Amino acid sequence: MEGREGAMNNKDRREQAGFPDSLRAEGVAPGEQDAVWALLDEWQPGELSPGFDEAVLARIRREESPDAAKAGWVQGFVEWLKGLDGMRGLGLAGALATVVFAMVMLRGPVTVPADDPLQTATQELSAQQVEMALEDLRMLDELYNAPATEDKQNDKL
Amino acid sequence: MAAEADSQLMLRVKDGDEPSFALLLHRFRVPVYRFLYRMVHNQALAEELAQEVFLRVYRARASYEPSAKFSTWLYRICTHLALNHLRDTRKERDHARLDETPESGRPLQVASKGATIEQKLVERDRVERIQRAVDELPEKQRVAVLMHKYQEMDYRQIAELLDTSESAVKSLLFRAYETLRGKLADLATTGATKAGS
Repeated sequence: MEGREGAMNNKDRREQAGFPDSLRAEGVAPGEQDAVWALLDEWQPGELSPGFDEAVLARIRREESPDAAKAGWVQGFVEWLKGLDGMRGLGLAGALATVVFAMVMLRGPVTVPADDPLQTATQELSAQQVEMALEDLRMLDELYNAPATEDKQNDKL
Repeated sequence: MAAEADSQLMLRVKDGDEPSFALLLHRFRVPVYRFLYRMVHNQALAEELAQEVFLRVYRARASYEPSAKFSTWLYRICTHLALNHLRDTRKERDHARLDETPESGRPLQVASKGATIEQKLVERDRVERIQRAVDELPEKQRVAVLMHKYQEMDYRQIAELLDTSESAVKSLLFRAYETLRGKLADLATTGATKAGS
């Protein structure tokens, strides 16, 4: 017999009064407690599957292989995610969203340092563009006003 | 003697000797599975948890110290796994219990072969009542009874396993057996009558 349970039950069956004296309750007839003790023997689990040892050893081999070591925690995390049921999945999603939100709030709005060359170049470019735009408007304004003055002079003549 | 051999085997596993692990696995697979079955009442689940127990033993081989009996160390892992599983799935089990059929994951074994269907049903009912009575014990009392009655552990081992004193274990067992006696008194009487007739 593998393990000790079988040996113990055989011993109990031989003695038929395996209930320990140290646990015997006062005022309880000896046979009564022994009967309950014997009753527990009726509860026997089903047999273990024949391939149990192989399954355990295969799991160990998988775990020991170098690929498994690489996959390691990623695979474990994915397996864990797969194992989540609906409510737990929702809970996890909520918790992740809260963490992301908290991180964004803690970091605050994205600011670029003043001495950033890209920022300086952008600022220079913008100033030049505004100046050029203003220049264009001035030229357009002059062009627009010029014929009107000539027309007035012609009227006077 | 056997316990020394178990510890010796585990020390060899610690040194990288895989056949020693296979031997320990072969030696303890049935008692571990039976203990877990009596904790979770489901064959497939008990096997899965038993696999996990042996995996954890293997993973922890480097840190193993033979300060206690190997079986005590092993059953400590079993107990933690089983209790964690029961705590994690308490809600699901409560729901499942409502629409449970006698066949759902419970390969209950009845003692007599060649009995009539009626006799088998009566025996099944008896076993289910015994199972339920043990199941309804508080966690520590249940573990103590399973270890004491089915795994043949002495008070000192159970005390180590449950991180308590021997006198506390005696008290736990006393209360547990008293509760069981109260709940199963009628079965014990009919059992005795049956045995006597």
